[in-house]
Amino acid sequence: MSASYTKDSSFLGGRIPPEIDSLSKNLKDVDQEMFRNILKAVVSALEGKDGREGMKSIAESSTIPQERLSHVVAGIYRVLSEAIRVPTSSLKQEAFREDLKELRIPEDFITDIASVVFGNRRAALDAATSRNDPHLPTLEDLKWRVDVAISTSSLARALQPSVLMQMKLSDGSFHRFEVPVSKFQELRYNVALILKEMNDLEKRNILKIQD
Amino acid sequence: MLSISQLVDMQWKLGMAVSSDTCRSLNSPYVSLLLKIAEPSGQICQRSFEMTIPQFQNFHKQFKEMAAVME
Repeated sequence: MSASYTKDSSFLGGRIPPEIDSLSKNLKDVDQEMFRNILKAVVSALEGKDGREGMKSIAESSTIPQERLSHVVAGIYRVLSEAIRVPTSSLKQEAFREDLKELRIPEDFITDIASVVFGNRRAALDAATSRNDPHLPTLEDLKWRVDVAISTSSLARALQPSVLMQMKLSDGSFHRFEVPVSKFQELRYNVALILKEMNDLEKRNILKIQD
Repeated sequence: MLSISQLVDMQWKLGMAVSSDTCRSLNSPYVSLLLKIAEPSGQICQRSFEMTIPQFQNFHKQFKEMAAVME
């Protein structure tokens, strides 16, 4: 068994994952139609959709034993997810095809894989993977109301304006709170400051990294 | 020993909702209550809620009925 190290410029980086290393061997007896069906199911999974029905029909009509099929799916999934990690500006199609050839993937299958990585479905894939970034709950909805307190149990003539806010987060939680006028001014100021910072950030070079 | 939380404080506010993100000119009066509740563990938690005037009038009626029964 040769050591699983690739040339520096491979889209895989340093080491070849075992499921990719054994992919060419596991693809024996897999015809192009079956390969395309698996590829379709993997793309669907990467887009976040439920691919169980698709996988079930592939398994039922499989020409290879189930265990080998699961290694094939794992290998294709890994190849695709590693390939789409690299931005399209950095990964050149010829180099990518060369990398797959070195992995002894059959030429026809390379073409199919390349058509996913460099085709017009790539934008949708990128959008789906960026949704999977680990992040805090996001703000989904903000409702507000301006109130004036007329009278309270502690002040007969309060006549204080305040803002009532309700935030709905992406994790389903609601946060309802009051914002007194002075805090609201602070909030307004900070929102304007953040907008300015974001504007300045767009001009900075850090956002223009290309390898 | 089963025990239940106790109401320890109640504060109220009569206010006017002037406008909102969905309605420029609301002009809707409301009553909001802030209840402080002592849980069996001793911890105090707060519950607040709002009522429209008709809802508050119904609320008031319930309490009048409760008071009448207790006499």
